Amino acid sequence: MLIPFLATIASEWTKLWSVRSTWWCLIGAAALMALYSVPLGFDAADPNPNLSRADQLLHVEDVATAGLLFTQFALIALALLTVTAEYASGSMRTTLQCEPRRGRVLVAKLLVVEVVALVSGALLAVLGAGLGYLAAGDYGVFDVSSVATVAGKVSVYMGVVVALAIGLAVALRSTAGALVVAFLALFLLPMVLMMSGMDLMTDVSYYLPGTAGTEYLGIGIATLFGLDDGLPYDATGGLGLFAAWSVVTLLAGYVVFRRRDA
Amino acid sequence: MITLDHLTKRYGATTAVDDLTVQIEPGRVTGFLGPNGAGKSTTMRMILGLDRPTSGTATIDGRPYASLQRPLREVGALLDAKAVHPGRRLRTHLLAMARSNSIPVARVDEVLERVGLAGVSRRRAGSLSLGMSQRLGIAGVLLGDPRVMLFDEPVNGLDPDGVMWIRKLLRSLAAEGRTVLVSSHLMSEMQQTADHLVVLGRGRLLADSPMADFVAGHGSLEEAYFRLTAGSVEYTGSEVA
Repeated sequence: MLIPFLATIASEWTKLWSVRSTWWCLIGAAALMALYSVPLGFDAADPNPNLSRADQLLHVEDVATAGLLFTQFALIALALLTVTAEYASGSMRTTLQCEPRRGRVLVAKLLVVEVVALVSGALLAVLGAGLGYLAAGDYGVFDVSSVATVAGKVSVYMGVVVALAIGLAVALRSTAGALVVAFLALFLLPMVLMMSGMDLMTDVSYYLPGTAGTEYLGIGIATLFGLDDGLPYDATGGLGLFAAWSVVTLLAGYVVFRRRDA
Repeated sequence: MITLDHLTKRYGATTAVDDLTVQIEPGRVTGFLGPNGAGKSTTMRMILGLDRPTSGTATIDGRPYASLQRPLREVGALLDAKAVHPGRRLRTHLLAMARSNSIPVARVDEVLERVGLAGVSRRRAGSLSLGMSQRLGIAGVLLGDPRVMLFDEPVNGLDPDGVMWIRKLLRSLAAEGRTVLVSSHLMSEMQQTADHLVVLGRGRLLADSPMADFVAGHGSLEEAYFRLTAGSVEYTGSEVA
């Protein structure tokens, strides 16, 4: 049983790296990270005479999470395309001819994407911190252990968010559909609800995956709107809630994947 | 051998496959005929465990497809030649299939050679003509050297050389003792390729007989086919004056 499963993982690994979209998504993620971190660095390098030097120092671990609200969508696209591109081309049927046990196919796809997400999440954070440091010149502070801590968090965040993406992909089968729902759940819906100014809506927004995930990362959407006081959990709780969303979405996706005709 | 036992598939009110009981025997080419919408492709998908039957069973040598440990080594199937990721190179497409069933990499190059695509193995699948896609699909069927093979409309898009090639290929595969099930709408081609016929109309079994018996008393397979399926055609255009 283990050997056929390893074979399925090997097959998914081969498939992932043999399409250009995977590379484009990774390049896109790196480019977006650069787009956010370099200006932040340059901004710090341009001294403000009204502030003390200590106040102007750029601790680059903060740069590593800049723009992740957007950058994450490059990895989300990578993750869901492993499923939705197969539905679009019809090659999901080939995949299921190779391994008819659908649970194994889903887990193999998830594991392969997790490896990419965990590694590239950490690398993206280090890239952002590094670029920020280079751009900040004399004002940059690169503390290795702080950067490593943030890199670990970004890595975990990406790991959780791609699981959510795969769950959506098997449930919805369409690239556009899954991407729109991911965008709503992680970004737009929390913001719209918080902007509504209504207590009930705000309460609901606290429990959405986007709110929980960004709270864990320390770039909270709730903080952005000055609503973090009412948040019923801390960063660790945010991770727990975020992960729970991913698990539930994956399970729902699995049920659909198992039941529906391919 | 493929065994269909009271196989039925309903989509809401429509019955795509209706209580189909038939055996596809090894050692011969079985032609799978029927008008559009007769249920041929649905039946093939149920044999492969892709679609779930509403009732009844489809088994391969007594086992459902989903229980096969390395299915490509037991059953090869070409359902839709264009169902390949358009950005993936031919060789990598087959390589991913081979890895999934622990088939040696050397076998990939062997089947590419056999279907005549060795020279273009680095092309991306999206750049292929339909005929070349059919050859890639056939390479996928041969990959695991399976005892049971299914081909859905494999002749479409092939040039005359390709048509003759696939006719010989299917006959030689059957002669090796394999179970070969081929669907096609090209009657004259089918008449030259198949030994046995299974004909569906509106999801029901209309005929299960040797080619010779089926054609007997008619001028050709085409004529016999039209006679049999006259009441079962669902989609017809208007008459041409």
